[in-house]
Amino acid sequence: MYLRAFYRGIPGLFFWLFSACSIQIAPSYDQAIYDKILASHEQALVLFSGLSGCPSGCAFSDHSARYDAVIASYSVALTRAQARPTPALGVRLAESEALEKVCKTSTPEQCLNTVPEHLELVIGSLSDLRDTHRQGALSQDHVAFYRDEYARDARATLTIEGALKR
Amino acid sequence: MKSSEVTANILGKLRTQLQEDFETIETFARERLEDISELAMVLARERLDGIFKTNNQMFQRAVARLEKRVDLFVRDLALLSALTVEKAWNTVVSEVWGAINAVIGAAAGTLPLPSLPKP
Repeated sequence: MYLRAFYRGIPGLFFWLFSACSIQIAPSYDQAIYDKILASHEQALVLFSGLSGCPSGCAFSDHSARYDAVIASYSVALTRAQARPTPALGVRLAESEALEKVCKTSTPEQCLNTVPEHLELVIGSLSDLRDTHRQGALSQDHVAFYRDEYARDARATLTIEGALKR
Repeated sequence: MKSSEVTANILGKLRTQLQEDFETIETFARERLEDISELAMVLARERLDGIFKTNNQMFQRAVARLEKRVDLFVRDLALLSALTVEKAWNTVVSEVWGAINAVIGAAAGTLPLPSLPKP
């Protein structure tokens, strides 16, 4: 009888021993965020395609709806990414001495959740392009500069969000 | 099951896992450093004789984004490294857990086996 009780206790013992051993440090992957970034990127490419054929001084009103749509779309992804929690272990790691210098410009909750700030970079470039166009100062040099900035940041954003998938 | 088999399984999976993760980190780091350095050079040129020659406000905003990219780059590397540690740890736990389940299952037959919790 004791032997049977002992055997029955073994699984519970191992469960207790190992249940805390599977860890999560980084935020969870969110397919909805990834899909939203991809959809926004497609909208941005349409915007840039339209602007590349835009002669100097072309009307802002012809493109304002596209600016609004793409910036709003990225802002939806940003809101969702900001709401995504960092696991407790990741927060503790960010607070630790090991990452003290790396995380000094962010809160421990934000330090390992970098996608929102990548999205802010993307939105920043698009907003500056829109503001330049609205002021009537848009040239093809502006389009080329902001497209270059945008494309590099959009790729990095997708890479980091994709890396969270495990 | 022998412990040497468990060790070999763990090492095999870890080797594949770590190799993939280090390649991801290396590729990301190289591409992002190229992005940052090329954008810095373009920004300097545009300030000297380009779109930012007279537009201080837009130039300052572009500089702020460049600073943010450098800060984010370091934190991205920390994040990717943390992901590697996380996956390595979970691979080891998963393999050890699987071996325990296999041994208990073979010995106890009808005993309910504990399952590995999802990370």
